[in-house]
Amino acid sequence: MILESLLNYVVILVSSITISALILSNNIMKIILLNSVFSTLAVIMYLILDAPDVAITEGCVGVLSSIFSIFTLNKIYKNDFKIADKFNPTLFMIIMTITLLLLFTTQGLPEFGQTKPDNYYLNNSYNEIGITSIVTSILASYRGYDTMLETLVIMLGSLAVLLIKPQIKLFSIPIKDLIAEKFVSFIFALLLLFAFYLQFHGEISPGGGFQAGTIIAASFILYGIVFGNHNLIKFVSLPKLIVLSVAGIGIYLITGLISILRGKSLLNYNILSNNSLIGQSIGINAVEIGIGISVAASMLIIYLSLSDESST
Amino acid sequence: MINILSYFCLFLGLVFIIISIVGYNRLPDYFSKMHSSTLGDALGAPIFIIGLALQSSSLIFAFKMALLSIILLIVNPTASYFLNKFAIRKGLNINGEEK
Repeated sequence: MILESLLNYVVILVSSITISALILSNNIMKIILLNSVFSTLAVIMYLILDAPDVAITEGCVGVLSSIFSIFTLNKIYKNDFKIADKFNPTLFMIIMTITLLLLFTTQGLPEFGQTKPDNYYLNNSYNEIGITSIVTSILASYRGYDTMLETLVIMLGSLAVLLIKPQIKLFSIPIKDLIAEKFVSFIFALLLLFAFYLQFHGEISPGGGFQAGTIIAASFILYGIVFGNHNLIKFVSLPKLIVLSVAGIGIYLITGLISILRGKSLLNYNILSNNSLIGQSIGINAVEIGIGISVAASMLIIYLSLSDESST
Repeated sequence: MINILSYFCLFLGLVFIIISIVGYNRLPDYFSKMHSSTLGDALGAPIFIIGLALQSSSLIFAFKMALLSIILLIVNPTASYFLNKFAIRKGLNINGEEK
C-alpha cells in the first residue's frame, strides 16, 4: 500500500516535470520526444488504475504518433526545427485560467474508487432508444454531447493543418498507369456503396458516421492519387470542403437546438416526434449524417492541404 | 449437391492457400515469393469464401460473401502488381538482386 502511493507520487512528480519542460521548450523535436515520454508515463498511470487495455492503446498510439510526427517534420522542415519562442502573456493567462477551471471542476468528481459499475445502459437501452446496438445508442443519444464536441475536435484539427505550409508537397505526381485507373474506376463506386451502407446501417450493426466519413474520404483520396489532384479539385475544392465540414457540425447542433426550442434539454431526441422511439431514430440518423459529412470533409481537407494544387 | 460443391470449393481453396504458404517459405527471392503468395491471395481466398457462401443459410449473407470474393479477386492482384512495379522501379532486377 505504501509502495503503491509512493509510485503514485513519483509518477505525478515526473509527469509534472515533463509537462513543464514541454511547455517551456521551443524546439519541435524536443516537444515530440517529451510527448512520447509523457505517453509512457500515461501508460504507467493507466496500469496503476487497473486499465491494461487502455494502457496498451495508449502505448501503441504514443509510439505511432511520435513516429508520424518525426516523419512529417522531416518532410516539412528541411533543416530548422526551431519555432518562435516569444513569451506570450495573454496566451499564458488564458492557459492558466483554463487550468484553474479544470482544477476547480475536479472537486465535483466522485471520490477515487467510490464509483460502482452500473448496468443502466445495458438494461434500458433497447426500451428507451429502440435500437439493438448499445454502442450506437450510447454514442449518439445518451452521450450525444460528447460526440458533438469530438466531431468539432476533428474539424478544428483539419483546419489547423491548413496553417502548415509544407516545403515539399506530398502526393503531387499522379500515378500514370492504366491498371490503376481501371482499378480505381471500379473500386470507387464499391467504396462509396460500402460507406453509405455503414452510414445508414449503424443502428443495427457496428458502424456509423465516423467510419462512413473516413471511407468516403479514402475513396476520394484514392481518386486523387491516381488521376491527379487537379481532377479531384473539380468535384471538391478546399473552400467547399471547409463549408461542408462546418455544415456537418451545424446539422448536429440544429438537431440538438430543435429539442431546446420544444422545451427539453439539448440533444433530447424524444421530443422530435410523438412516439419517443421514432423521435430517437430520427435524431440518431440526423446526427450520424452530420458526423459523416463533417468527418469526410475534414479528412479531405487534411489531404488537399498537404498535397499539390491546393493553393489554386 | 450444394453441400458437395461447397466442400469441394473449401478443399480447393485450402489446397491453394497451403501451396502458397509452402512456396512463400521455401522459394528463394522476392519475385518467386511474390509469385507464390499471390496464388493464395488471388485464387485461394476467393474460392474458399465461395465455399463458405454456399454453406450459409440466408441469401443476403451469401450475396455479401460473393461480393467480397469478387473484391478480393480484383484488389489482391492489383496490390501485388503495384508492389512488383515499385520494386522494379526501385532497382530490383528479375533475379531479386539489387542493381
